[in-house]
Amino acid sequence: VKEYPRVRWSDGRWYPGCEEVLDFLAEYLAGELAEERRAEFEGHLGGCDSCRSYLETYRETIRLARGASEEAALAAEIPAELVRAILASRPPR
Amino acid sequence: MTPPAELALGGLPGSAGSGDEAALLSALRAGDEGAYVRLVAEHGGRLLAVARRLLRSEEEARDALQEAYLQAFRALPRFEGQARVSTWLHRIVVNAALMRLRRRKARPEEPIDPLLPSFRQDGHAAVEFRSWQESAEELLARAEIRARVRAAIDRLPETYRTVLLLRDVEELETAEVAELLGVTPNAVKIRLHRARQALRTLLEPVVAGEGA
Repeated sequence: VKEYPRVRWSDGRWYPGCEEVLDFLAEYLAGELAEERRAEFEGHLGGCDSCRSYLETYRETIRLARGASEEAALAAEIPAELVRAILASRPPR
Repeated sequence: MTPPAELALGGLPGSAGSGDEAALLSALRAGDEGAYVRLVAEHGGRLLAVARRLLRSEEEARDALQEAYLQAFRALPRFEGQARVSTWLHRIVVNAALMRLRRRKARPEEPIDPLLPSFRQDGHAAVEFRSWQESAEELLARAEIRARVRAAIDRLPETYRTVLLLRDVEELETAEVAELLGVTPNAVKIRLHRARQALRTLLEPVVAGEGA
């Protein structure tokens, strides 16, 4: 198990560092972290502009991947000769 | 290419109600020619796009689609309609495409690490991350950006590209992807996170409006 360094915030408390937060970002976003750990992550994100920006752009990356790929599926038509080839390949009943 | 008039049947793929699906299934089982045409013409376009995305080869995508339909025709007597026909066909096509990817996989992959964030010894990020000027919605309105996003996905190492497509684009569940790829659900989660991180890095110049 990897040991992550923790960071001390201006409120005097210790929080997970950027590395730990970004390594477990997917679990955080999926709501898979235990409550206490989630609160710690939120403590870090509350005081770290850089990680908040990363979180936001990570989400946007997912939206971009999905949105850019959907276009090809919506526009796709199956060529008539392929339909014919598929229908011709039916096993005999 | 436009399908001939007799194949241009109305309705979006997967939009048929459950009554329609039951009727379609019984017509298929009865060997009704029109039902077979519907099954291919209504779903084939979207399924071909899925195979194209995974295989990045028109020829292989068409072959995979043909194989998938053949499997579906053979499996029809055992299909009990627990899933929607569109979902059932989608899984068969994904599987056929993955089989082909597996056979193809021979060359070593580029490491993904250079595309992942790096950190200092104290746990802080090595560089400061900044928000993007435009939202995904604004960016996606531009065809050039959409094409560059697809090109960036294609630049991911294959292991990661496949997981990103199956989870974030095809929207399969983690357990399903794990089963299809023969890996643990945890491995799927790790690969997906790294794939998203790497794609985020590749998209930075795209969203900043820098040249391709």
